[in-house]
Amino acid sequence: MDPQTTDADEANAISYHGKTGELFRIYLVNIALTILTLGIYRFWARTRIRDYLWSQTSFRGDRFEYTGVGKELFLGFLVVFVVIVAVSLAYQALYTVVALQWPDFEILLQLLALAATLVLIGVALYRARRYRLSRTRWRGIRGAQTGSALGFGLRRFGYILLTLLTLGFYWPFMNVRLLAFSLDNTWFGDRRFRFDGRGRDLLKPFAVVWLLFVPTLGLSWFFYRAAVLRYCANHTRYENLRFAAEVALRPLAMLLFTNMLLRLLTLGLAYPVVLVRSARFLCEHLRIVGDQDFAEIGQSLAAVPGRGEGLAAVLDVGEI
Amino acid sequence: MPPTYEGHYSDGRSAGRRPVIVRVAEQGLIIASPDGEPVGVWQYADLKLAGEVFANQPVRLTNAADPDARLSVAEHGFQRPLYAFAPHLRRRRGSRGWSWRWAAASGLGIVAVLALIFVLLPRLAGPIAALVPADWEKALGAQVVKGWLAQGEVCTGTAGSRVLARLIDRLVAGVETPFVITVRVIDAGEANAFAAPGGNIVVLRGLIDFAESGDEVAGVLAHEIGHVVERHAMEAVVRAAGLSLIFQALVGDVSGLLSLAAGAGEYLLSLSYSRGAEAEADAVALDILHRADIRTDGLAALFARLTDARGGTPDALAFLSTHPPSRERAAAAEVGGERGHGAMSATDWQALRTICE
Repeated sequence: MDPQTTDADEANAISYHGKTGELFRIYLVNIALTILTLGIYRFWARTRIRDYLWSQTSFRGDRFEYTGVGKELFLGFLVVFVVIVAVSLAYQALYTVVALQWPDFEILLQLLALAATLVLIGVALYRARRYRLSRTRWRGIRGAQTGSALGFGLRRFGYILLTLLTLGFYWPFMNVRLLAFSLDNTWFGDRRFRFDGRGRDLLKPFAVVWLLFVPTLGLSWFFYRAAVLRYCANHTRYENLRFAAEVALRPLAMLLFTNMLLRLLTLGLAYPVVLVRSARFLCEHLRIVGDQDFAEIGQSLAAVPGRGEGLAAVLDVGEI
Repeated sequence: MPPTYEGHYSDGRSAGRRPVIVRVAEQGLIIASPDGEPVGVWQYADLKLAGEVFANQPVRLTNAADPDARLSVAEHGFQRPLYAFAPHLRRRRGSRGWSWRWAAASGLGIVAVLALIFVLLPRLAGPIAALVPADWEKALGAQVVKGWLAQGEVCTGTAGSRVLARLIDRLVAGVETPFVITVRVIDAGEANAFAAPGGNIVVLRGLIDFAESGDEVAGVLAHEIGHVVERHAMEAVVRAAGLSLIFQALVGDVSGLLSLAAGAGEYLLSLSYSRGAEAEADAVALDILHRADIRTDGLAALFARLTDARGGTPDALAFLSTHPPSRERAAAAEVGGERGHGAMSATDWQALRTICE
């Protein structure tokens, strides 16, 4: 390694400072309140978890900050819930009439509903990410996400179809293209991230996984995951900064496998442990290379959504 | 001399930061660069914590007058003089803390949800079911029947079918319903009968085996027709849909454990609802039997024996009208039970008993 860049690399370190015990206490209180309030507290619960994770992660010595509040998630959920209920009632009515009058079109209608749901899941994921980024600050400067959520949902749907048609071989292209769509639309302050990965570069590791999937009892999947992580990090830039992930197969496989076991064996109670382990792993293995004068970066000018993640909450597809 | 602390300041216009000296003074937090150049004065009333202060974490502040700017002080000793001037920061973070308003709102919310489940939904299910066009109900019923038919053969014994058709004509005469009442006997051993949406009645062969006379079968059929007239099956569907809607809204994505518990709750609730509907169907059944001039003590006898046979436990068919046998229901059917004639002759009764052969 070039000795001159070491200082800047040190300065660019991403660190996770959180303790499992603290997060676990938050989580237990969350569960208790969620049960006591018949589930309504879950939006505030989610907010507290994020608050903790964000504020325990630092870059260049400054902690991140999550500025979302539970009320925004709750309102977002309520609005979308009412709309979705209305739409699905209308669909049920239409379905009943069609099933009665034109039974031949029943399957067509079902397929349409399935397609719409798949597109909506993409829309939900993208919109949820927009909300999260708009509520993420570092040194008071906001993140943001531009781009059309419907565009993302339609693309994702198209890629899923192509993946099915190509017996899975479109999968790496889908991964890379969706990531490119979201990263090129991701901003910190008034500058955007850049991603220049290409799907065909991941085709080789994917083919290896595909061929070895059965003989290795599916363990070859971890090899692909590690390759994707490395590749995608290495092709992401922000201004003068480059990302780099040094993820070897063994530690990633161990992390994912033990996380899965932890969640299964404790019926999900080990969720905070899983979160902390993942956060720590990511911070340890993600490096940021280069020197950037952050005084050049201005505040984000993107519109800030007032409510958040309603669709993701209704469709139950949220992350963290 | 007010205490001073070292910290970092970001102005919110760029992502740079500068080292500052913070003085906790009477008039506010006085922020200045290390060489004394003033940066700003933050009023205590405008301050908020940007996140909880955990161990090893800097105290991070925001200022309502300049919402994008951030001040961060690593030393936790800073909190004591700060909170003396800004006691509202002691609470975790402004609106997030527990307040009487929050407690009242969540209490009200819980009461509202419970009222929705136990008061509003049972009362609204009937009127909403009445709004559903008869055609839709028929289509729905056809789906349900399709599922049942998979469980056993439909019995089509010629003589038995003829007896059944005659009995139904007698019972249905003068009954007001938008549906054509269709009765099917299915070759299954359980002693039970159901009314699906859209006028579809299914009698399991086990019930005919269990019955000791044609009067008893007539009583059960009248009872099921009662469900059809009152559109109870549609009401149950509306109620089940409403309940699952409420439970989905409440539980959403909490965890596998919770949604399991919610599923059980939903199931128990749908069972407890059906009692009132059974009494209504009984009342209609008595009317039908009187009009058809059939004695009602058959229904009473069957109920009484079902109660004994099952020890009074309701069976598990929660979705459609279930039949928890009870002594009160038997008693209601007993009153004046001997008026009227038998439902069918002894030969007809024998024919009906062999409908599945």
